[in-house]
Amino acid sequence: MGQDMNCFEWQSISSDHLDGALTGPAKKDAEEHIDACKECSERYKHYRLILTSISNQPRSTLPVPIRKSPLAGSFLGLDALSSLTALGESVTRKSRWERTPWFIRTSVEGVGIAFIILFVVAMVPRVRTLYEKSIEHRLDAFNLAEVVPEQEQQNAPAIPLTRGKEVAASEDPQKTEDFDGENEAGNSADDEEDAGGKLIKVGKSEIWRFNLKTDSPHEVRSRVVETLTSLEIPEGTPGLGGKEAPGGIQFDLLVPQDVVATIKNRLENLLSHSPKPQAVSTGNSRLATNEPFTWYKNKSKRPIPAGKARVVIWLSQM
Amino acid sequence: MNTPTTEHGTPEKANRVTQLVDAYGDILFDLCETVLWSQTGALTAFRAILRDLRRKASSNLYGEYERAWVLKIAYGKLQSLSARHGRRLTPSEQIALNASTNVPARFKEFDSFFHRLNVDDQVLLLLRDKYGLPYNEIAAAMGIPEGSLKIRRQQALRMLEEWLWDKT
Repeated sequence: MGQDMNCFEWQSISSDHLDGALTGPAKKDAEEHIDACKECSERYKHYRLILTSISNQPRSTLPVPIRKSPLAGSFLGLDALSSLTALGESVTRKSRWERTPWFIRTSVEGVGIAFIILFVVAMVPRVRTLYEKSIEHRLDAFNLAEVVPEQEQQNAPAIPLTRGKEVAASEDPQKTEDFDGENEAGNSADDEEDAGGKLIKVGKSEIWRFNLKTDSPHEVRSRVVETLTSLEIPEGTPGLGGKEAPGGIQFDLLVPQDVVATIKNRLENLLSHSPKPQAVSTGNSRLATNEPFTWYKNKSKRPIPAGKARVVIWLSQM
Repeated sequence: MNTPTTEHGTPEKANRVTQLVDAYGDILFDLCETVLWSQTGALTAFRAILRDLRRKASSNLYGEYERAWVLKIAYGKLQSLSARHGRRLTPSEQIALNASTNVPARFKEFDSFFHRLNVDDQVLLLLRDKYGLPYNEIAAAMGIPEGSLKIRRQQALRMLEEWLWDKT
């Protein structure tokens, strides 16, 4: 190599050079390169300083307690280590749970996990039932909900049964115009007095909805059919027999306006033994839920033949 | 004929471990403490090494290279324990370390710079330059060829030089 040794070559043998392991021409070439190259010379000195620092690092000795009883220190783990804490450094100790035999720990953990799983499995159907009940409750509320205008609420302080519009018998029908603005007060045929002594007024193109909650919709269905047929509604009227629908039975038929009040009274009497209604107030709307019999009316978007009203009776499972 | 056993294994094994601790306990403990930079960590590592020594006490096939065999076990444990039990410089300490302007100030923090090296390089430099072990023993302990050891040592020295003389 001789003077041809470059910095890279010296770097590759610098470890041996530092150890003094080079001999013969290699040693001579390396020393000549160090003398000639300032950079490598500096580096060589730096390496020496570093190696001196490493070799001069203080050496720790094995603590006497461990040396005396290495197995106690390593396996029992407490005697020697506890004596070492006197040296001023905290030693991590195992907790009581960690010191418990593994088979006990495993058993307890296994039983615990099994209990958790069983608890979850047992609770899932209950949670599901609660969820379904809440959904049903919301659906019922949605079906029965009707926003009552604030003014109407103020004018009609007592609504014993429903959210339908009622007019006291003593009131002047002129003052209680229907929502469609038609004044049919002069038509006595439109006014019917129900059993409670209150009037309901049937206007044009109205849909009257009656909701009946019962334990046995199928049993009530036949009674409803009887009621309707007794009111001289022709047997061939579409919807007279009712039809099965999800959650109950629905009657949807066109009837003369003057029999609507009678239908209402008779349907109400069908469920005369039902519990008292409970009204729930939510914001501007008054929702009546859990009532065995409720009714309300609204305007039909589709035209209804003159002198007729659409009646929708809904029998649902209580 | 059954060999009587104690809670720490056979008496032969216990005696063997005791002998090993007598012979190499200091270097093992110092190696653990220097690399892990913590007495607690060193104790944990030393206990783990003793546990391994006890388990493998009868399988020492190295013969005259007994020290290399012991160091091999220690090196394996240090590699696995350094991440969990070794002390590391916090970011603020790293910044403070880099803020030192002159070489003497940096040399005062030599330990901190030394622990910037990875565990392999630390063990190599310690075994070679602190304890003066021959390359063949270090190679046996670390499972690295001698030539590679020399190159790694030179690279580690160069890294330390760059840090200490701020050549980065």
